Amino acid sequence: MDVLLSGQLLFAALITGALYALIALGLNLVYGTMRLLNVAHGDLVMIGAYVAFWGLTLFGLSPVVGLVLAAAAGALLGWLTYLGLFRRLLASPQLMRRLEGNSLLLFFGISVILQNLASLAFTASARGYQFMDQVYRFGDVALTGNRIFVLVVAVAICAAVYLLLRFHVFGLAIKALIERRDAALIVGVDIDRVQLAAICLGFAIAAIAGVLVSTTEQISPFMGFPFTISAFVVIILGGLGNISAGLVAGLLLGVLEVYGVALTSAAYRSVLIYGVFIAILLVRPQGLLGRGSVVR
Amino acid sequence: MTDALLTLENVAAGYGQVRILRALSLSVAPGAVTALIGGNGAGKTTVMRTIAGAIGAQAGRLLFGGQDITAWPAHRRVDAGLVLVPEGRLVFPTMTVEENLRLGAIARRARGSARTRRDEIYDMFPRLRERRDQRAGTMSGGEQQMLAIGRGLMADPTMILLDEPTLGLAPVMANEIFAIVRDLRARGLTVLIAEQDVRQTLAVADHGHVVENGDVVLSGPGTSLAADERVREAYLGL
Ligand SMILES: Nc1ncnc2c1ncn2[C@@H]1O[C@H](COP(=O)(O)OP(=O)(O)O)[C@@H](O)[C@H]1O
Ligand SMILES: [Mg+2]
Repeated sequence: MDVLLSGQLLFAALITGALYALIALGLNLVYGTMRLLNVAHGDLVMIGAYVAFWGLTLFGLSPVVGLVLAAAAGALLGWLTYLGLFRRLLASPQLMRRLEGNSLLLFFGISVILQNLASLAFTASARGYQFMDQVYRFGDVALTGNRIFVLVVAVAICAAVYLLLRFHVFGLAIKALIERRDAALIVGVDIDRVQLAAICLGFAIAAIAGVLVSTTEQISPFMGFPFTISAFVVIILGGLGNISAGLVAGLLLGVLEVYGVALTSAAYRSVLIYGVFIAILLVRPQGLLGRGSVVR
Repeated sequence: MTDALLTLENVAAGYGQVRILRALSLSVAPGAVTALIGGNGAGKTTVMRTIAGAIGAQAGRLLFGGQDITAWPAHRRVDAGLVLVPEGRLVFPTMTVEENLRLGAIARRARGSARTRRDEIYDMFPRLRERRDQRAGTMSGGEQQMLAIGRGLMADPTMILLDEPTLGLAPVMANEIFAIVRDLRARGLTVLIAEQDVRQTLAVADHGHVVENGDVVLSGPGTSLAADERVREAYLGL
């Protein structure tokens, strides 16, 4: 039991939770504003990870610079995806009705393409690099620099996006679009622009998370899928499209996973996450933290 | 009417393959109350939504303040001062009254003066001020209608479209809404109102258009429409 009360475990849970919250935030922005089920979200995390890896390996760029490059790459992919695929589908009420289901298939295709392109270009072997791996001690807690980096950046970006949504007119427009699309249109939200911004931001956030992951773990073209799953678990836990509840749900999943694994064994990690997923869908499909049903 | 604020010329519109309006024309004079009357399913809401840009015109032209707005997206029309208060109110249910009003002023033309206008709207609807922190979805139908109108006014419109503002409201509340319509005209706004309550609507309206089967079948001053045989028979039950 001692280990459960240790600060070490608490920090491990916070770091995992902050990363989950960050990744899910990007997914939630895209789902909430456009009802697109982005099952390629984890593959954007993978792309961000490779941007950091190659930036460092080829050009000696620090992963701090990698954050900016990955964000730009993510935003660019979001822009291409929106203009190339979804803008027209979203503009027609008739096509839009079927879009939620269709988007799942489209993104599944994108996921397969991204994974295969990445393994063609970078080979399928796992890669890694050293970054800030000196150990810092705070009382009885020992953390490597890279894990502190992950925590600080993830929390900072979650907080920045939260504040943006809370206080900026863009956030107001996003909330309107998430809550009631037809009314958002009528009050004068420039829906096209807000959707484009949401998808660029959502993809950029995933890619930034990829940079963070690459500083502490090995990366490979197929690393994305578990992140897609955890992000879906988080946004279902928080209630689909509910941005602030999703941030809390991310932390909660981190805690569940880290403490669950500490109580059982690492072999149970996936069982835990899928178990939470299925339990929520059975017991409270509107989300543990959501306020009732999602308004469409 | 060459000095009309809004003109629809042979407008066709509908939903997907279904055309509801085939070639509808009408005009709205500035500073006046114009009524769209007609039975359920006649096409009044379709006209309103086409004017607001929520559905696109498939043919014909819309002119607002001398500009051709046919191809303009909805937000650009709001920015030009053409604002819809939709049928069914469509408030943001989990947001508070205050947040709903803030969203009403999201158009660029309205952002700067949002605070003062919010206070004006609270003076106009004291009940909204009392409930400023309440979630819109938990309010009564009449209060939600006031909020929907208040939200529309937050955009600083020159012309406001009211689609069935008294639908489902108790008679006392409906009377309040008609008093508001008079008040809006007194403030110099141009009003286009679609209503099932033909008697009260024609009593307020300077001008009216009767819509049937997606077309305007009769137009005239409010008082003369109220006296018209066909209108009396079909809509006033006389
Ligand atoms: N979203 C929609 N999809 C298909 N048909 C619709 C839709 N909304 C309304 N209609 C049809 O359009 C016609 C006109 O409806 P509407 O404009 O709402 O009339 P009104 O407002 O006068 O009651 C009706 O026949 C109605 O069934
Ligand atoms: Mg109607």
